[in-house]
Parts: sequence; structure tokens; C-alpha cells
Amino acid sequence: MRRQLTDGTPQQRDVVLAQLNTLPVDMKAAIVPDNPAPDQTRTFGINMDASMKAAHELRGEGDDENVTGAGWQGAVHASEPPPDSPEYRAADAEARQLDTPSWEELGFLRKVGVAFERFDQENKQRGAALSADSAARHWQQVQELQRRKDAGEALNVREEQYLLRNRRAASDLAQAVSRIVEAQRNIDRLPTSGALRQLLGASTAAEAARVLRERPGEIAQALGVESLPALTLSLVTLGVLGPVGGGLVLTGGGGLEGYANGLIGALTKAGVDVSRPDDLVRALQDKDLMDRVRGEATTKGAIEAGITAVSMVIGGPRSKGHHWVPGPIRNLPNLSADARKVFNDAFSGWYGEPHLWSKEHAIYNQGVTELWDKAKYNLSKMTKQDARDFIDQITRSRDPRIAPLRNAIIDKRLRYERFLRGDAQ
Amino acid sequence: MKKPQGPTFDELLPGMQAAFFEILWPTFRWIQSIWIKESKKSEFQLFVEATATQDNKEWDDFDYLAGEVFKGVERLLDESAPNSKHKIKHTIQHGPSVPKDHEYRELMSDRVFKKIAKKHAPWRLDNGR
Repeated sequence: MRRQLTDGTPQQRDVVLAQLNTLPVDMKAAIVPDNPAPDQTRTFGINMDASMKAAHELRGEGDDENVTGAGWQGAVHASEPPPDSPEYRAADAEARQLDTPSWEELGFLRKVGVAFERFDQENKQRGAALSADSAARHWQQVQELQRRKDAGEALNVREEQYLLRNRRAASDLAQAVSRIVEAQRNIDRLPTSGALRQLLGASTAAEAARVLRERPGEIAQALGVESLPALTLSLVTLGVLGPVGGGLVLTGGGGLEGYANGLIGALTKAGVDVSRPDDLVRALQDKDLMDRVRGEATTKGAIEAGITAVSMVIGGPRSKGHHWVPGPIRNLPNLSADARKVFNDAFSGWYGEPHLWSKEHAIYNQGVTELWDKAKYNLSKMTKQDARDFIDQITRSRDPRIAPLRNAIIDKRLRYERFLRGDAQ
Repeated sequence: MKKPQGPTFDELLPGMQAAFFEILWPTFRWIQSIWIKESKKSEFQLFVEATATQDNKEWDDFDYLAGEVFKGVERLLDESAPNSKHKIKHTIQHGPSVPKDHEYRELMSDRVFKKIAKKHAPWRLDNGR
């Protein structure tokens, strides 16, 4: 806190001051020794505009990249070098670098765990941001009433009651802000992919859609399986209800979540492919369509359709489906570049659900590996045509270890296409 | 009580196109286009446009994979009408050009491929299949 007071941005200082304002006077003095004595007239005020700006920046809505980039540091231990010293900064940067493993170093399960943790922290942050929005409104109203009262104006009964009820508005706001800071600090400690950070920092549906369009593979991988439905809900509600609505959905507001599902269902029924960010954003900008969709969104049918839609878009529409040639073959070191490219590009399209590891998949891989071993290709001289021939052997295979997975993809494609057209609702 | 209606041919066609797009179109590169019509209830007739002559093994593989797609359609129909057991028959004809029969619908062709690939699998556009 002391460090942010001394060398933080104006916004950081305002946030810290807001937090300090909630503390007992003796604790304030311990943190800020040069704090004025209790009998002095100077008080800790809250710069409302700056506090709210900081809160928005923490949610990725601001235009100051330095806030999240620099992170939010905790209290400084007395034995450490002075916060503004070069030694302190170097040690701090090094420590944070060492503490946070790179995304690439994590295994799959750890990545999923991190994704869940991030989701949880973000929910907390968004909840706190909404509390801050609410507290800020109350605080502003209290300030206005207090100003009138101090000027000798008589307040009516309701206004007096409002003042009484909201006498803790300033500390409520400060607490909410401190919860945002805490959540952001926890998020910053988690490893992340660059693409995911860019996506989570997107302030508008259009920006999120652009990031999704440009870096879909990295984001799908980074998100694991749990965040895209929430993201899709959020994209839709961001467009319809604005940032607060989008945030509310992510904090788990039951009514709004139902409404968001209804919006998605109604959009799907209107022929919008909600699994495609481009289509979704275009639809959100179509006023006539959205007027119709809003009317439809609260119907039970639309909500149910939306729930189905959300479960179907998990993983993203451009996520790779199933690679016909298993990874160990694709990654053989001596494989020719031509063959590797053909193998890497040969996968089924998106069929509406994540392609995860399964027992059937393991059996499939075993069958394909045997097929590969029998073919005895000269790896370094393998041509594009050789590679295509091998894929043909897989897709035509009647081997009971290979055929079921291929047929499962046929089933999924049939269903997904019906779903996209709205026939399955 | 009215019996629940299963999906119509029109409703099933896009799903069948997607399945042919995934499995058969990249596998049988000699095919120019595939056409389909429902000759009777639950009986589909395919017409494969191809100029080059193919051996029996090739046609047998095509028949097998087309059959697997129709088995998928059967499972889909069974799901949409519980307690029913659908059985789809299919026959395959081939020749240099599809008969001028208005009942035939375009199941897969370069045009359909591009339309689906553009939407679902743009990477497939590069190699043309």
C-alpha cells in the first residue's frame, strides 16, 4: 500500500486511499506514518471519478495498459529495501517472474485447473466491480444530500432515511474496490497465454470477437472447456445490456442468466450462428433483429434453446475437431515436411463439442498406429500423395478399433448441422 | 394421438451434406458430384457423377461409407421418434452426368464443398477437398 501511495499511478493512489479510509485511525497511521494527526482537519477523501476509472481499468475497460500490466502489489514488509529503490524493483520483478510458471510449462490438467481458478477469481472481481458501481452511486447521492444539509437546507424524511441507511456508503465502496484489487492481484499471479489475456482484456463484444477470430486455436486451448459458454453469454449480454449486464451474467445472476440464454436461443432461432463471433457481433448490431430477439428471449422455448446452444458452442467453432492421424505419428522427427503438413491439416471440422481424450480415442490411436506400422513408409521421402493415401486408409477402415470413432464423428456432424439450422429444437 | 413427426428429407439433407463433406468428399477425389433423392419412404438413391472408371474395391468402399452415414441418419431418426426402429436403404448409380430428374438434390459437389468449407473448415479450401 505504501508503495502504491508513493510511486503508484494517480488511480492506484486513489484506490489505496479509498481502502485506507475504511481503516481505524491508528491503523492508517501505521501504514502512512506522515498521515495527519486525528485532530487535524485533513481527511482521507475518495476521488470517485478516479476510483471508478481504476475499477473499470481493472475490468479491462480502461485505456491505460499500465494498470494491469504493472500488477497490483500488496503491503511492503518493513525489512525490505525502500519501495522506490532500484533494488526493490529488480527483486520484485524477478520474484514475480519466478513465482509464475509460463503457460507452456503447464500440463493439461494444470491448465484446466488454472482456467477454473481464473474463472473463479474473475467472477469475484466482477461481483466486486458491480458492488463498487452500486456503492459509488449511493455514495454520490449521500455526498449530495450531505452537501445540502451542511448548507443548511432541510432534508425531507425520505432523504434523512437514505442518509442513515447509507451512512457506510464510503466504506462499502472502499471495500468493494479493495476486493477488485485483491481479485486482480490473484488473477495476475496465474499463468496465462497471451491470447487469453488479450481476450479477457477486451472491453467490447466486437473487440472480443476480433481476438477470437484472430487467435481461436490458442484461446480454445487456453480456456480449456469451461469459459467459452460464459464468454458467449457475456458477448450477447454485453451487446444487449451493456457491460454491467455482461458482468452480471458472469457473476451468476439467475434471472439474467436465463435471459441471456433466452437471447442466445432467440438469436439461434433467428438464424444467427451464435458459435461464430462474426455472425454474433453482426447480429448484435442489427437493431431490428435485436428488437425482435429481445421480445422472444424471455420465452421458455428460447431459454431452453439457448441452454442447448451454449452447451454446443463449448470449445469454439474453429476448434479443431478430430485429427485423423494421431499426434505421435504427426510428430515423428524424420517425417517429411510435406507429409507432416497434410497430416496436421487433416482433421474433422467442428461438430459442436470439445474433442477430448477418451477410451475410444485411445483404442482408435492403437488401430491407426498398427495401420501405420504395416505401411512401412520411408518417412523422410513421404510425399503429399502418400500422406493423403494413408488418411484415406483410415477413413475407409472397417477395423473395429478405428471405425467407431469415425462413425461417432458422422453422428456428431449430423446432429450439429441440425442444431445449427434450428431443426433440433 | 398424433404420432410425432420425424425430420423431413429437407431437414436431414444439410446434416448428410456435412457428413459427406467430412468423410467421403476428401476420400474419393475422383468423384465430381453426388446427388440424392428419396425414391420411397426411407429409401435413398444416390447418383455419383464420375467420368473415370473405378474398380470394384473403390465402389465397395464408397458404398460402405455412404452406408455408415445412413446408419447415422437412422440413429438420428430413432432418437427423434423414440420406440421406433428406422431402416434406411440406399442404392448407388453412377455415370458421367446426373439424370435430368428434378427429384435429385445436390448432396455434394465443388459448390457445396466450398459453401460448407467457407463456414466450417476454411483450411480445407487450400487443398480443394
